[in-house]
Amino acid sequence: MDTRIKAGGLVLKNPVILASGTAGYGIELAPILDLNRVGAIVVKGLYPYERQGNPPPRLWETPCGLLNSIGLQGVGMRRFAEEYLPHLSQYDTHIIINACGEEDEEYVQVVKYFSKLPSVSGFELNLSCPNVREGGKCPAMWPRWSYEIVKATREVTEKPLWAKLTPNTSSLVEVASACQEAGADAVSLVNTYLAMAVDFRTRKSRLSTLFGGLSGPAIKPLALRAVYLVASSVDVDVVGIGGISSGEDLLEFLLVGAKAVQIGSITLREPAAAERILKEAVSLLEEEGYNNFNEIIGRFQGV
Amino acid sequence: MKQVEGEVKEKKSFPGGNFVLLRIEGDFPPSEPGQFAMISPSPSFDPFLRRPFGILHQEGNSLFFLIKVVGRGTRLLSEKKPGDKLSLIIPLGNGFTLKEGKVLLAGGGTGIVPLVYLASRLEDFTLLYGAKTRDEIFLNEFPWLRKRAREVIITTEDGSAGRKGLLTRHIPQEDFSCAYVSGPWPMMMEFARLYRGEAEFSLETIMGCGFGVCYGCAVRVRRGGQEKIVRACLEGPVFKKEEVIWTQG
Repeated sequence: MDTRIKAGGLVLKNPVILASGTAGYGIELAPILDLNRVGAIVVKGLYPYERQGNPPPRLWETPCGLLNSIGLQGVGMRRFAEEYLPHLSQYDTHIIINACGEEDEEYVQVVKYFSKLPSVSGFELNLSCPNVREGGKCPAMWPRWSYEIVKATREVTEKPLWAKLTPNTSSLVEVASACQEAGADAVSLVNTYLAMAVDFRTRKSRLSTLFGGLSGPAIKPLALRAVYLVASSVDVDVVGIGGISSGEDLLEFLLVGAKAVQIGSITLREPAAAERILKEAVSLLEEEGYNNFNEIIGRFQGV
Repeated sequence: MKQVEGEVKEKKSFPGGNFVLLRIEGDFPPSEPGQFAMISPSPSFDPFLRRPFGILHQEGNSLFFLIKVVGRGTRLLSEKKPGDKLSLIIPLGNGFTLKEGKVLLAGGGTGIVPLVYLASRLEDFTLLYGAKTRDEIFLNEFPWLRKRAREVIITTEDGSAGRKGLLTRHIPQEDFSCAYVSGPWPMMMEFARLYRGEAEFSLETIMGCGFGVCYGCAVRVRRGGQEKIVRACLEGPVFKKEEVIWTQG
């Protein structure tokens, strides 16, 4: 079966993308997962500089998922380019840089830095990371702020530019629309849902921060709705993210309008989940008589 | 590292139901003492994550684990029966550095696990093994340990076996080329405070993936003259004494 799809300005060999933050810099998974089999890899969020992240504890398991407050620990753009990219670029897949910033200008720095490198296929702006401008709130909570960052980065790269959105806003559709107007080739959603876990014995948070981000199968129905809302009302490619753990989950996201999907938390328990999910989706499609993924994208029939 | 499906071949439960020994067979790659495995407690998504377990021993196509029930995941694993299949990712992390000469193994509670495996590779060692009570001392499961050790010192907090009191009150006052320490955090912290020589510690943390992609198992360490946050799974779980920062908060 022809598994190719077009999403966000790229032709992917299949619609399964490794999400940022659950696949490291890609090569950590290589002993178990054949990276040549994934549509793309979105690497762990990169700032212009190295970051320590939040103190431990950073994880708390919840029913069918987990809460995290990793705090975007990472090696920074230069060390990534020198130490990881040469290895990662040996695989036949798209490498997408997840660009982060504590200040708006830092997104521009990261995009500019990688824009010249041929091994990088495109960018995903992490508009869901804490920004100093609004006391730690994230740009994707507001359409205007999202617009400004997409616009500023659009000016420094010709490569495909995606914006990763937070569901923790009452203006999700407006934010997606603003990203599209500013020149984004796709929006990827959702990032984690803000949530908390407390210990009644110690009367404190289970994490080193007050809130964490909830991910995993637990959030799939929430994410599916968010993808549906954006895909059905904004003229922009949507990359679906949120608890996708099976081939059937993948097809559900395509059905409500996603052009491709990213798989995240499932990789933590099953490093080769991407290969399994693709295989399952292909056999489901074949069983139902479809010839390719495009035949199902956006074909949701409603109630 | 490999993801391998294994089959529970033998299981031994201990009184109280809080500890089980499992022998799992499978096509496992070789491991080193101090390395660990991530084992999935359930094929369902609840609980979602795998659990990390130190390797007790590896021989032929068998892996041995001692599992202490501390929550839902370990409870589910303790209920596995011979014939049940389990998914393992193995081997993970960095093991102990083997040193020449007489060494000290200091294990508190299930901290004994990686030290049993380590002892199988050592010629000259003293074993210091502490637990809350005699039912939590599993020395009889490893009869060869007592035979091979230069000396075995058992401690229990309630005095029901061996010497009474915390393990750290009974550290032998001899010179060792290295001490290998594994156990609860407060025990290791106290050991580090009291013990003057070279030592390696196997740290236990909550883990997400076990292979370095989630950054959930962060520990603060001192490396290259500065404090850093590293992943216990990939940069550890074994750290040198001078690297560990005991107050993590």
